[in-house]
Amino acid sequence: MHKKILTVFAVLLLTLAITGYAYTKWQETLQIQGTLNSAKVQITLQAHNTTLQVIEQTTHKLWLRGTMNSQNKTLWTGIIINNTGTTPVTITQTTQTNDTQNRFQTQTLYYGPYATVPPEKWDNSPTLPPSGGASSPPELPAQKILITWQNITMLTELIPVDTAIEITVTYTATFQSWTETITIKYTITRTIG
Amino acid sequence: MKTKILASLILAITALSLIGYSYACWNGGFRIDCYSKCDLIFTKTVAWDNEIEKDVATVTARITYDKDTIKIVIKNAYPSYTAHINYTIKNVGNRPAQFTSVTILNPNPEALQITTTDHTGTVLGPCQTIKGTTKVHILQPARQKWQYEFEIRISAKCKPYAYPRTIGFWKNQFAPYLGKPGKPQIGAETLEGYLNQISSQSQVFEFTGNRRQKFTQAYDILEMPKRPTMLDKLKAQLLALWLNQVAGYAEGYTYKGMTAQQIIQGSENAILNGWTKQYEYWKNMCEGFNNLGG
Repeated sequence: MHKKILTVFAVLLLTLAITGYAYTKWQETLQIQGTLNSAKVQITLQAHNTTLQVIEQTTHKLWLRGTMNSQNKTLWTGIIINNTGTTPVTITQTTQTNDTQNRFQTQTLYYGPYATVPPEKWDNSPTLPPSGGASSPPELPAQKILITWQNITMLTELIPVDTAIEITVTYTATFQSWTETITIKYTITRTIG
Repeated sequence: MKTKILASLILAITALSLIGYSYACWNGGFRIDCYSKCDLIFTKTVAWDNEIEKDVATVTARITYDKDTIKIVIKNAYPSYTAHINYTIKNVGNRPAQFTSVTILNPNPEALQITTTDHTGTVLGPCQTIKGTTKVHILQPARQKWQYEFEIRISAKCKPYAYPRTIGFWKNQFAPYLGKPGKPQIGAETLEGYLNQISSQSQVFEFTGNRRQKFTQAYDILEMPKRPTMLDKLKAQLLALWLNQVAGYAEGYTYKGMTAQQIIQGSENAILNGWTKQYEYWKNMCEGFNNLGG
């Protein structure tokens, strides 16, 4: 009899204890969950248009070789830069050369930005350079292309025979602190003749 | 014998019911009409960013169905981009809840700087809301084409006992000791201690004489004359606020951005200087605070 009463009281006590415990231990946690996907700054070399010999070509590098045997000769090279990233970019261009005597002159003209390649600015241009080029690059929005035409002209003084002059043109795309570059390397030689 | 078995069975059923009931309350229980329930939810969220000229990145924030979570999605972010997320939390329970901690889980502190409003210590009364802001700033070392995740946990606990009590509550504490009907929840000695404390700190109230006399003075102030002036109403609410203050029931609470101490100070200044035009304002402030417990 006593055992049963004891059991009943024990159950009652336990129940009250659990009830009280649950109440006092109530705690709620609200959550703020975040997912962040970062952008991508990327430009790629989509196409080139040149009479020079292509030594190497990747999405970010083009190495061209050619000969120049006469004064005031001009070589034109067209390239298409595609903004394949997810942000707009500003394009800057730098030129470096080992020609310390400045026997070459370079000039770049910019066309675009375009969603698709306009033939009259590219392979169907009646003249080189195509008309309407700008001397400084525009901002290039994401998924848009920029056409550049660059000339290299050998001035009055010829380079010595069998001498290789290297001209490296770098296009840098910048958005905030993120950058991406494309490099065009020209190797110019002169042969006997 | 059968009676004993029946009694045991009833007890067991009661026990199980109570366990289930308390568990339901513990887990929010907003679908169950618990006597005492604590429940916080998000009611509103708005997101914006620091982009002015170009719209490169996007930020969105939404409250999930259970209203316990805000999901933030930031796309195409880049260094120096900052997203702001405003939110509102509401206490939909019938007991005050006190924020106990805010934890920011950010596995990539080199790439993300996350700050958020710290509500720790703040008590949110029933039906009250509180606003906060979370800021996500992308740092220079952030990687391109990468996915980062973060989480903020805002914890709160139920505050069942120490919350401001109304003028009626305090009146009912004194009444039984003066031969009026009712059952006090606070002992006579404790109540007298409260009045002594108020006498020593207040510039408006002073309770003198024996315990019964002090209780009568306090009760009369709380009861107010039949045709009370605004000053009578202010004094009644002010005394209730004083009692909440000395009892520790005002701790952690604010009303319209003011603590109990600040409201007491303002009310007493108005009374002492006879700024009658301010009486109603301070009466409302005291009353608003005293009613925070719901």
